Amino acid sequence: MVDELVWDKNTGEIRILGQRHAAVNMQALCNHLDSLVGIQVAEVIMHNLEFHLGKEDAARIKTEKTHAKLHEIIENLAQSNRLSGVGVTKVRLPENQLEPIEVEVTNPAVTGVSGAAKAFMFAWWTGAMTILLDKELDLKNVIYDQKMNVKKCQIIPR
Amino acid sequence: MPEISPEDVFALHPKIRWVGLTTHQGKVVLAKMRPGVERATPENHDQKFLELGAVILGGVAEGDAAFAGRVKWIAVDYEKYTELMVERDGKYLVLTFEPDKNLQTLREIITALETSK
Repeated sequence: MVDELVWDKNTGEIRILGQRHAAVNMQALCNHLDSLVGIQVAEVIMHNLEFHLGKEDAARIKTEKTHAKLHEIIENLAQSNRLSGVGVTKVRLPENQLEPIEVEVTNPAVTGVSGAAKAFMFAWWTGAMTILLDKELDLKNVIYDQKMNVKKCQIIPR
Repeated sequence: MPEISPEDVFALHPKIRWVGLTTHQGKVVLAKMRPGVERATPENHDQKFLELGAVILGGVAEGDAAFAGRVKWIAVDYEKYTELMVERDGKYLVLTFEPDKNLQTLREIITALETSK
């Protein structure tokens, strides 16, 4: 696996952890989706997309790094967040598996807590953790602390 | 209140082929083909439609509700079947039935759904 950001201005190519990406204005995309179909449906669309992408990304890294420990894979996924420009992600796994997993993103690219913005990133983590922990999980309690510029969520067992 | 069952829906009209129920967040509650009826769509396609397609269809239609009033039902008439979507107990109930030329079956099913509430 390529553990870095490749940004080739000549070929117009961005690769993050080996995967081709395109930089888009996510806040604008979320806002447009909200206005197009309403915030409830926009959230479902973004959740559906991000949840599946999170599952795919986690499954790929798990396959590529067969001997990696859980926290190493999570760090790898958090690194892909930083390289993608979505912010600095920290994931806290609870001692007790019934308690929520806490994900926080400092300096998030998308700060909204309703509509598509609510599901962006955090639904991706929900999908990724579903694969890594092999259990059904749900996204809850998305908040944004404007003063600290931190967006947080909880991921709980379904 | 007990959730509607596939058998309850199939009992409404003999031409109903398939039934699905999903929340406004796209969590699929049920999806079932009437026993003995041949599928027109793959099973995973039905699942994906209930997770996202039905929610988008319903949500877009509800976008006009502030001006036009409550959405009563949404129907899509395909060559192989007709699809009907209604709101039921805060969820989207979707069903497909054998098509007919004058939409008589559509009227009968809508009437049956309204009287079964």
